[in-house]
Amino acid sequence: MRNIWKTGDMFIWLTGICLAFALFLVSALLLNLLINGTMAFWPTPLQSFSTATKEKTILGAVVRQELIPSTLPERFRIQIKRGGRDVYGSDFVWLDEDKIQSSEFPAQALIMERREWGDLIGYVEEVRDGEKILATGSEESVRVIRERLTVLGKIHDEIEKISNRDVGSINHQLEDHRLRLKTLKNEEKSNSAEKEKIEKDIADLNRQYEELEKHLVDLRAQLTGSVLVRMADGQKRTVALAKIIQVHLPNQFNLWDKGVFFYNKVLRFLVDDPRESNTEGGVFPAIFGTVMMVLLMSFFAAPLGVLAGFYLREYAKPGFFVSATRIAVNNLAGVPSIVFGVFGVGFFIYFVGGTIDSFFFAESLPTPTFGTGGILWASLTMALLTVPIVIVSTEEGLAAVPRGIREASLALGATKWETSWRIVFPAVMPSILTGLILAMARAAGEVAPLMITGVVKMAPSLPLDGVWPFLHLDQKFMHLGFHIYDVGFQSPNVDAARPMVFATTLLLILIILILNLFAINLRKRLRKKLATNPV
Amino acid sequence: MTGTVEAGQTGSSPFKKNSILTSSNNFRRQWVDRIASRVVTFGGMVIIFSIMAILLVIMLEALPLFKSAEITLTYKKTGAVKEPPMALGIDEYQQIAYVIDAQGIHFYTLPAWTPVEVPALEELGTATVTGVSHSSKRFAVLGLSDGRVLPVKIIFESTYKNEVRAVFPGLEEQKALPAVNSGQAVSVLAYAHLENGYAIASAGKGGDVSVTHIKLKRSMTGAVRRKVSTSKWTLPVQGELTALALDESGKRLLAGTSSGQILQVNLEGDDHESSVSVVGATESSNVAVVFIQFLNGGYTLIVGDSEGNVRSYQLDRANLAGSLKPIHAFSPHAEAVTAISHSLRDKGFFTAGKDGKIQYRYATTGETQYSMTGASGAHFKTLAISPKNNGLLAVDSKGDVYHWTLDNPHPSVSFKALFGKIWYEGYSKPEYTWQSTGGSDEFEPKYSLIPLIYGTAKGTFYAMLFALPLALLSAFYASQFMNPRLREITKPTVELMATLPTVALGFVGALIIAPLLEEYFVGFVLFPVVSAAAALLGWAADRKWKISGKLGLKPGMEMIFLIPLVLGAAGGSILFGGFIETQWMAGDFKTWALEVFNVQYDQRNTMVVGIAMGFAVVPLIFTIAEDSLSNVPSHLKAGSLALGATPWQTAVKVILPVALPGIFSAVMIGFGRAIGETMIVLMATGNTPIMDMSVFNGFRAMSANIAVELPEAPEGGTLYRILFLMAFLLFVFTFIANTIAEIVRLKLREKFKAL
Repeated sequence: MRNIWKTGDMFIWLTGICLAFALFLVSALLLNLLINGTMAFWPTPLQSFSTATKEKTILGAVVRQELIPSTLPERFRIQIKRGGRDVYGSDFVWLDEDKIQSSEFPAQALIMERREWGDLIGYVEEVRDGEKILATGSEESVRVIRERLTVLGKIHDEIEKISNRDVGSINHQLEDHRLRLKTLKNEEKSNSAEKEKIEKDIADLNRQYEELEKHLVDLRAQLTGSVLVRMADGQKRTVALAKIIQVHLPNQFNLWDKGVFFYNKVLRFLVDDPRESNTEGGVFPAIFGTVMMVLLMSFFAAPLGVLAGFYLREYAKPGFFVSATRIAVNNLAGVPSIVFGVFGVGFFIYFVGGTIDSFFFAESLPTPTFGTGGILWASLTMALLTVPIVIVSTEEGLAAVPRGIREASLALGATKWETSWRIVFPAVMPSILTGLILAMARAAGEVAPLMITGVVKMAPSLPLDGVWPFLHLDQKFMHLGFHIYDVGFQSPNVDAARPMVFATTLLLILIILILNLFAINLRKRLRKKLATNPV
Repeated sequence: MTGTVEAGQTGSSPFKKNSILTSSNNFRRQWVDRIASRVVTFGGMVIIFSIMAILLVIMLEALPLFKSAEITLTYKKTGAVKEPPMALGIDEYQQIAYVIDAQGIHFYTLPAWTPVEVPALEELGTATVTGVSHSSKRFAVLGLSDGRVLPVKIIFESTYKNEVRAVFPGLEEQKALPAVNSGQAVSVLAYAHLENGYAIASAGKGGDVSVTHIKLKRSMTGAVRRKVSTSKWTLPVQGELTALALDESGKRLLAGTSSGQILQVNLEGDDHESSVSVVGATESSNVAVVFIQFLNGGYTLIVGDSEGNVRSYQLDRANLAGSLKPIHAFSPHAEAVTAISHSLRDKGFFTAGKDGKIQYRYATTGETQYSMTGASGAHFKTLAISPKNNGLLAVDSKGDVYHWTLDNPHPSVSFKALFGKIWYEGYSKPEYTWQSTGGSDEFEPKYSLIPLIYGTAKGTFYAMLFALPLALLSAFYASQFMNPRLREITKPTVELMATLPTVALGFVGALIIAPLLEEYFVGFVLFPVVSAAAALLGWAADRKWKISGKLGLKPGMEMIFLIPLVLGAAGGSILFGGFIETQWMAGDFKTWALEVFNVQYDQRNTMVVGIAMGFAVVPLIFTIAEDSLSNVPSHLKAGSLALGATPWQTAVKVILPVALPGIFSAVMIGFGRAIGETMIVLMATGNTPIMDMSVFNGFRAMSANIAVELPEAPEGGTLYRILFLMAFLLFVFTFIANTIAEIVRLKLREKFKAL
């Protein structure tokens, strides 16, 4: 026995189980997110319960089951999403399992996705347009509703286009004119001709605005029709067709239908705007904001990182200074991201931004233009945060380029610059790319510095649009990571937001994992190439 | 590749060209090369320096916090005042000063000191002013020689003409209160501004005090009705009353005497005897109280005496009969104190003494921040701090008028306030408190960094407690015993874990781990023991029945058994935990913990943070530790094994000592990461700045605090700069940890080369 103790074989198993536990934790985490994230899009059947509680029947989708706290013997309760926040005050209801008398999956049960107030769950009675009844009965009604919705959808798009793009453009011009008037007034020049012209323009714009408004009113008048829905408890609700996005009879779905539903839902999650204070709809602006920020960040980080890497490895004389710098740069990668955020606030926003404002946007002060958080400052902050990654990986690449290549080039009479630019640079290109992709992955996942440098929960417009100068660097933006924080923690309706948060988390993790895997692969291939390419 | 081709193409001509040094092409190339090298060098240095500048910028933003008050003499008017005034005041733009002397109230322009004519006080008549109670709220109560008391409102109206400001002073007399105390001249009196009126207390002979409450009621028509009620008290004093103060509820009177007593009178009390209590005293009975002055907020009062001592006390606000709590004794004047003037914005005040000094003090910290002297042989009689806290006016015994500009943007911050225990108003003892924003105007922000540093340390400690064993043992196993082919899959998997965004981990911690932990807490605590037992059982079973041998598994493939074992152990500990809970904890761990240990279990607690942060820290430590363990030169391992040592003995006695510095640097880097982690602590804790080492409740870390409070902090304000100071601390902590790690790692690399 003493011998066994001495060989220590059992300790190998003891250390091994730690690794097994670590692997178990990661896989459990990823699996959980994957399941919960996908389930957010998968249709759930609607179940009707007759209960021994005040409410005789409850119709809805079962969300989860849990132990009722502090009860013995153990009793369970289920959470049901029954929709109709406008009817019941909340989307969810808890039901003790021992109160359930019977349950069924009614084939006629309908779920209606609305533009406001979340889903409505019930049974459709009839569809009408004014006094005219268009359809009765579930199947026929659903068919008619879908037909009407395609027509109404087009009108809706038209309305959206006018109110967002055209009206937005007019507002923008009006604001410009207003500022110009203010500037004129400040300068106290009695330049009445110019003033009159601006005032005339403003009048013109206002007229255009009124015309658009009239057009909008016309369009809105075309959005007619309504649906009569009977709720589980028997009360009836009329929902205007214009307020409906989609209707489904999920209990009649076969696997194909479910797949189609899933596909559509994922698609709309990716391309739609958020609704109901971000708890419903899509995350398109957040994806767009994340991508914009990461691209802008790369635009700053890549050249700077490469320049610094080349300087450290190719141009600087090796010595104490260079090694100290290298240690410092390495360490910067370990400095907390929030510290970079604080720097961004103090330096970029208040110092640089404030200076820009006082020189170029003095007319709109005290409302800051660049002196407040915005996508430019967020990406610059992020660039600082990620530039060490690019520097380190450029340096690694440079170290891997064999001396022979450089010496051959120099021996043939090329200058140092020519050697660096034409020989070394192409060889380290993959390393630089790897570093850049890693930097992008890091930037996509960081939230803390963005929270203080320009991310908002709801941006009114995208930082890139059709209004001159197209790219609005001063604008605040939305971000997937911040979306998770905001919807999951600041939302008034946490239960309703839960699927949304899971889906967003899954999306963010997928983006980051894909970027990382891509970088790792690139690096692996590059190492192989360099290893098999002796010069 | 392109490089070589081009070199080949131009290969024939450069020989010729190179030999001709004046060739324009060659010259151009050299020139480009020189420019490029300068640009790269310059650009590279600039980038590196600007990265380094981060530290500098953050430091510079935080530095003004520690700047001491700057007080500069702007002007002095020699002999401007004939007779030393009883009180002094200044308007908020510091353009007009007023002086209260025996003849009434006079206004002067600043800095020229030319008199401004205002109608004389009608009520004054033939009487002279003998005493003044004067708060900076522009209300002066004059005690007159015929025993009457005259409240006067001092008005400043400012108008703008061509962007130049003009200030016009005015007086608004209230009705004088009739003479009490048998018409004796009133020299000691106090005044308090109440919610619906004001209260005036005046001292007569001996211990006689009369207190008058004037209630103003605005009727529907807009007319103001006055309701006057007077009560008389005789205080058991030795000597004379020298100072009075009314608190802002108007229900409590404080009185100081020439024999050094401080008395408190509960004006609501019916019984005169029990309503009066002695609540403090000067050092001896020959030391008289000179003034009793409430500071801004009406909580703290300052007592100055004839020996030059200045002390602060706190009122027991809830209990009218409660005693005064002595808080600070400020550095004393060498001789008797003569005057006080307090700020209307914070807890700062100036005192003047017969020793000729004016001292600026801050009541919260008890520090004397500045001291200055006037002309020799004179001392200051009266002081007036400007309403905006940016100027000080003083008159000395020679009648000279002084004006100083005050620049003290962060008076409440000092080293002691940030890192020491402070006795804040309304607290029962000195404490470390972080409370940066509050509901009311009177709220005094409390900026102790200690609870936040404590929170950061607590979070880091528990995260490391969870992550260190897991990461290091895993790395040890992976590098030493694991089959290389399995390792090739395992390592990138763990590394990928390091890239998970922390916001996702925070979300997972708060919404998945927290409820799970709440439900299976006992099982979770049992898990390490159960899994270790499972591992040992697995090993014993494998040894006994030679399972791996029969399956043809190579050594290092234990993982195949270990993963099911972990799953089994997890299930087992949950079941076992549930069993323990029902058997010994009455079915619920939380209530049991509350009853037996009196600890409150919060759902978002430190344990959740520890686990969630583990996801971020484990892969980091694992990767670096694994690297340094597997980079130990292989001949050491081979030699040890060849000499008959078992793999475990080799790993522990040969490999581990060599790689120890690498493991140390892994720990340091993990530590640096845990200190600065923001999103996880923000999302998975309750963010309450409490100081409690219990795992069952949350904390507030510096990083999360910055993220939450910086968007709300006005630029350049005290909170803003303190948040920068926090960022600076975080930067320094992590930078030191990382630098140590990096240096150790570089040394280790050299050592490996040498082996």
